Amino acid sequence: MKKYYLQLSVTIITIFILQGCVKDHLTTTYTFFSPVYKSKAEVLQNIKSAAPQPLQNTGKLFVLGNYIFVNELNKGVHVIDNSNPASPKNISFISIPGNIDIAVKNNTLYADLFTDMVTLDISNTTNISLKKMTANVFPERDYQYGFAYDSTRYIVDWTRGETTSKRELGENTQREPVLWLTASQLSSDMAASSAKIGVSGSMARFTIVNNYLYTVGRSNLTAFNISSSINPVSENVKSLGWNIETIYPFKDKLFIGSQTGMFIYSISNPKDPSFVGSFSHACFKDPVIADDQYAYVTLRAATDGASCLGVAAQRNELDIVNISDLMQPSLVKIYDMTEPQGLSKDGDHLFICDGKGGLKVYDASNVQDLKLIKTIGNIKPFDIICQAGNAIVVAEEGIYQFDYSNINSIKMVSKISIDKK
Amino acid sequence: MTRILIFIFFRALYFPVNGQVVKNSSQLLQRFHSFNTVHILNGSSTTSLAINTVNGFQFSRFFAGIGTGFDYYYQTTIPLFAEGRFDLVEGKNKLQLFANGGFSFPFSSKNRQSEGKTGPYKTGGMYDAGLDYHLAVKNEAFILGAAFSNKQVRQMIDNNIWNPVLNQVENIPIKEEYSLNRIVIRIGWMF
Repeated sequence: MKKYYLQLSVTIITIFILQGCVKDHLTTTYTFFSPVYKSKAEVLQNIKSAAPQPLQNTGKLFVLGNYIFVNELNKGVHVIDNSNPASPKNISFISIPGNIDIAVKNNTLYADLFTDMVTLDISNTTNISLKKMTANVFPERDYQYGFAYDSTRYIVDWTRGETTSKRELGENTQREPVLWLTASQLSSDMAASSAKIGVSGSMARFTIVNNYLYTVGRSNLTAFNISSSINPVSENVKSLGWNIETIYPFKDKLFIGSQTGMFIYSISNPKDPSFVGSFSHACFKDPVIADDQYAYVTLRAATDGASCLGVAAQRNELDIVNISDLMQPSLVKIYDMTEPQGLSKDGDHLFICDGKGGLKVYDASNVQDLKLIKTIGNIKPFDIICQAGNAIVVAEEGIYQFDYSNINSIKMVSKISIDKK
Repeated sequence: MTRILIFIFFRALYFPVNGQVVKNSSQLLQRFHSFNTVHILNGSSTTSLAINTVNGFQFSRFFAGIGTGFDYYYQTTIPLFAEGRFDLVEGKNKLQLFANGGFSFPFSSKNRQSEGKTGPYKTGGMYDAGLDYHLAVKNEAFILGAAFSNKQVRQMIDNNIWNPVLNQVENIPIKEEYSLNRIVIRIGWMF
């Protein structure tokens, strides 16, 4: 019997010996992105036309004569010779880190470079040169993804890494200072970064009217006097409220799209845009275009689960708003859409980039009863600019050009493929 | 009857592995044992329960078998393992040293600790080592034991973040690997 007690004791003692070993551990492995910096001097020195680069993450598009300027998000601008729309040629690339928006007037291209703006001479597209850097005109872009800039360097790229940490379960940990933002936190940045088209493009944040360049940030409207084209001067900054997304000029008005509505500003005094009226709508992404009587606003549901004013942004629609009384715009009709984004209008024809729903072309002669003329499927377009029978469409798959001179027989003219990373 | 059925099952497993032909089934039946235990698991995160069944054959002072069960600690898992035992002290009542190792399969796709963490679970590893005291009751035995137990739980947690390289939101999962160490008090029955 004594022997059994001994054995039992060994068992119990084992429990106490092992007690000190029991700690639960958690090993976490996560991906992070770190910025790659270059000195400002080095970056500015490299802002010039260089060898063409493949299109990868295209942003806004600006058309000037026979040239198409395509933003490569946060990288720079592709220059495409479009003298023959059936065979456009990617002829050069201008490296501009942090670039999202562009605008062109005559031989001058304006582009943002994080907080700064650069002015480029594009009179010779094979020898584009930097004329001026205007510092700190977009102060809201003084950080990117949690990284603040300093006065001596720019972020020119990002590297992807992976790290592992181990800790006892229940311990608090502090992550390293790396990119770690959720989709909803970045929705505003996304809006700024989605691919867009310039020259009165519906999703642009830069637009030029006569001698003024107007830019919208997340919360403000800035008027730059560009009478001296290479020397833009910021003359006025207006506070607009939060979540501003797009700007569209029509005659002496600016139509400004925000996540919660559309604002109309008069630029009869171009130096001092003045508020005329507004139209509120439910959230979300909402490029706007206008003609004499109507504004066309597309609302797109958030795909990342983001909400707006506490409400999930779930609507996909086209709102047509009567703006004959600018001080009291009124909703005329709502049309259901699939995933609407950029839009363009030429005469009575309304072109809507409906994401996975394709490119839709409507007869908009009667806004109460839009008639679908054609749907171009198999592409996921997100912005468009229509000029003189030629529609330039930015889609996930590439930049397309369609000849719509015969609206009943729209034909694809060319495609520049996008080489996604 | 149950014992015979379990025996038939394990005999079927046993033969292909060893490539042997055992002529005397009753002899093998005598070697067959089934350990069925309830575990009280105590770790730094929580105290919980598990149930196990291990079935195999005794050869002299050695036992080899395979086991499975349910482990409710932290995140419910189903272990599948091979186990070896050695009789430290022989007699009517005996003290057995044992160790096992194998896989820990996730039972549920839901994170019990944090519902906000969604994403697939992956199979982890597991091992136990300890001592069992067998108190003989006729040809069977009551088991009281203690062990150290480890199981790993792995989850790939959905993580939608902005990818500045691609300029788009991307689901880049966070890999969480839990290594859960527990002291186990084992109570059960061997037949």
